[in-house]
Amino acid sequence: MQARERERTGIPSLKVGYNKAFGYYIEITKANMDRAPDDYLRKQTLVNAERFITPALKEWEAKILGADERAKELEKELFQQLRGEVEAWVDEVQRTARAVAVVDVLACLAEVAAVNDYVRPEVDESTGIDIREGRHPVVEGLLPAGKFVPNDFFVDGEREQVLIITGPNMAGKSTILRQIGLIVLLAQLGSFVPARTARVGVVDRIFTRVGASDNLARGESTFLVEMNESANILNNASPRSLVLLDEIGRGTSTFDGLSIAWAMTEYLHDTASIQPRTLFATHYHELTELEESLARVKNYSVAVRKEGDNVTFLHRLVPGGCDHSYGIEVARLAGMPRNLIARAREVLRTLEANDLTPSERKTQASVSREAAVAGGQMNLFDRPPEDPVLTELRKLDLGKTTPLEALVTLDRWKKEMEGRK
Amino acid sequence: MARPRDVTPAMEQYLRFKDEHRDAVLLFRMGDFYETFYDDAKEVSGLLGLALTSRNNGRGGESVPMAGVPHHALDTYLARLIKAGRKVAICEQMEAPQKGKAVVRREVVQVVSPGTALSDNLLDQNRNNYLLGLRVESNRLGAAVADLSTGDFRTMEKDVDELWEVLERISPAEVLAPESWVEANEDEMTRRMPGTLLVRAEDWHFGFAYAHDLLLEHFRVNSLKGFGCDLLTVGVSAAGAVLAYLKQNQKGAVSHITRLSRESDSAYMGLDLVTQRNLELITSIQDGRREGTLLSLLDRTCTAMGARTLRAWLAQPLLEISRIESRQDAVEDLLRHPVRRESVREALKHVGDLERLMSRICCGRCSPRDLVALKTSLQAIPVLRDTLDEAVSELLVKARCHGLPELCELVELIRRTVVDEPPFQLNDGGIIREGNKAELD
Repeated sequence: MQARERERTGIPSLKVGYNKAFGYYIEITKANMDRAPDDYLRKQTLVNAERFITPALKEWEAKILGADERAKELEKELFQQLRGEVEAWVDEVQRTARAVAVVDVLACLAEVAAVNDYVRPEVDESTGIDIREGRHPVVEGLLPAGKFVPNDFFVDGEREQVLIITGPNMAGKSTILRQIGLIVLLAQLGSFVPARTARVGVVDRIFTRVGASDNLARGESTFLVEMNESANILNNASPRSLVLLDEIGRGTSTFDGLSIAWAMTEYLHDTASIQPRTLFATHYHELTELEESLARVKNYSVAVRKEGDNVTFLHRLVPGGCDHSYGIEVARLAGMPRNLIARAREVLRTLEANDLTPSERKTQASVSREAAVAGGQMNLFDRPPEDPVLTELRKLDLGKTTPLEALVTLDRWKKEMEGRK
Repeated sequence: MARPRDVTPAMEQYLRFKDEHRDAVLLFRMGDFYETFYDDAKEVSGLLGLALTSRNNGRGGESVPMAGVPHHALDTYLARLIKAGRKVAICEQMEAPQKGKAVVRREVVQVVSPGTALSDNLLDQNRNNYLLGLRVESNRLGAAVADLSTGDFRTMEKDVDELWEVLERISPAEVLAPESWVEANEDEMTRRMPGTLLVRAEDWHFGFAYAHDLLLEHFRVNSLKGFGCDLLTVGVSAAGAVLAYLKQNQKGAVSHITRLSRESDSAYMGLDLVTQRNLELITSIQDGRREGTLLSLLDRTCTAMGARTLRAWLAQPLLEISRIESRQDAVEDLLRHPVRRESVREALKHVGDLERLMSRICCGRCSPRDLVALKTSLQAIPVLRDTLDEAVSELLVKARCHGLPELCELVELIRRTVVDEPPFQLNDGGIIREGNKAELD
């Protein structure tokens, strides 16, 4: 076409081009404008050139585009036909995809275990969790190699069911709590775990109540959220569950918070239908007193080394409670002004002199309990004593009791109860 | 919307389609633009930052609010609407405009919603995209989940108390529920799961008989026994409603949903959303990002399918010791043989997203390149299988013997028909290999 038009007009630079707006066109530079034939219809003017169409060009275009169009239609048809044939293979392809996914995840877990030096945990039907030199999988990666302090850890539904972990803020209680949750979770998803050895008695549910600050932004009452989550745990836990509690009762006044934390510990320990393995990190060191009254409560603390006014957090979990909160030391580490720290120490000394040591507090608590029981109320910090009638009933051996003796006893109890009113 | 009395034929067509898709934004193709009108236009112009103009309705009709997007930018705008949690119906011109004909034939060719998305720019390749259908009856909850982009389809029955736990665990992009349930729970739903599209369907869509028949027909089976779902009631109702909804949206093209599985009550460890957040499994507490989470530490998968599966495993640790141990055996198998592990992972890197490729093919939304990608991925399968030759653990042996077939016939079919590097668009031509049809050559 181009050659024919060049010959007809005698313009060697004449071009035939194509654009989407008006299809094929003939382009002539402005210099050759005077040689354009009469049947050229002007379509567009450019800086240096003019574009034209002719009836012959349009006829030719229709032929080309028609063929092109037909070819495309045909291709589409063939493509749809192929698509239909491929569709018939859907079962095989999906089965392949599932196998690829499983192999991929298993290879991924093996790679992670190799790179991070994990071990194969033993998973069994017991209620124990026994971890030696366990590490937090994510936190260990954020620290320089060898800097993360591993921890041993043992909890068991029959003997050491509730662990109370005390220690100053910043000492790493939350990290230890999460670490245990993550190791259990990794073990049950089939992965190896960051520890030297690990044994995990299957956990049916992990419950957590961690931190208090994350909901503040949403404007909900921190305390209400905390209590909602706690209620969920108490209502749904089973003896196979693992409960991780971090600082219960922080969102309210000290005594309210301590009271709720105390009662929750008793409830988790005593309620036979629940009795989950529980880890309770708290800065209320009063809670360590529960170890004496509740059989399966055990105290742990996060070790701190104190030299003069200097404290170092060792990030190590050790048996026994912690009776010092190190709050002022933490404040100093955080960069509070020096004279403020000095004043805080002064205030603390005064308070401690006027206040009670933990053992004195306990004595007082038991005194007040007797008074409270006499007044028909129970004190929250101690378990209520059993009614003497109930105790006697429990001890009564019906095999050695004649019907007459039984009636006499019953009559005596009845009078005793009525006399109390 | 009150129907204006005098409208142009095109507007009449528009209003008819809009009536059929009242819960969706209707994108109406007019020449080089997809236009929206009335309330859609007001909403869309705000969401997408488009100019809100108006169109004279002709024949003395009132002027109608209008906003449009250029046809070539459809994907971008569609993605933004879907991410904003909207459902979109796309209405195309089915013929070229002809002189003398008042109005071109149009059809709604596709309905896209957050829970039924298929194209890669609407999806995160590392996570499943679920539509969840639910039905509650006498304190039992039936919940069915489907990922249209992979063909995954499951149902479960739970105590109704576990409703929010189930929703939070699955975190679907879209929830389909009976009208009556939506009336009672819409507020709580918006509060608990902002960003999830809630779609209502008339209650009869959730009828048991209707659902049961639909499932039997779709899977071409006589009973649901083979899926372990024969004793379910609300679980079947929910599954039927989900399938009906997908079929309607995809014009019936859902052949890649090939099975329904039943999620058992007691197979997995309970992990509520609070615990998933507190343990920083998938998002971090601080800013909800992926960094610093267990998932980001563990994710060394090589395929999109592996990445999605890892994420699912993480939210569902097992309870059965034998199943845990078979996974451990396989991990140990690969841990002990670093060379084998390396070759397995190398082979995996050549496998594309088979699930999503196949879904697009079955829904009729595949590009020529999807077919070539399927072919290339399938060619990598025998290589992967060979790397497992000496594996001894049960799961790996099972994958090698039953899960990784050499689909030569399918590979050859695609290779023979399509050129090696076809254009992205079907309309560009040059897709079919020479020699496939005389007329083309």
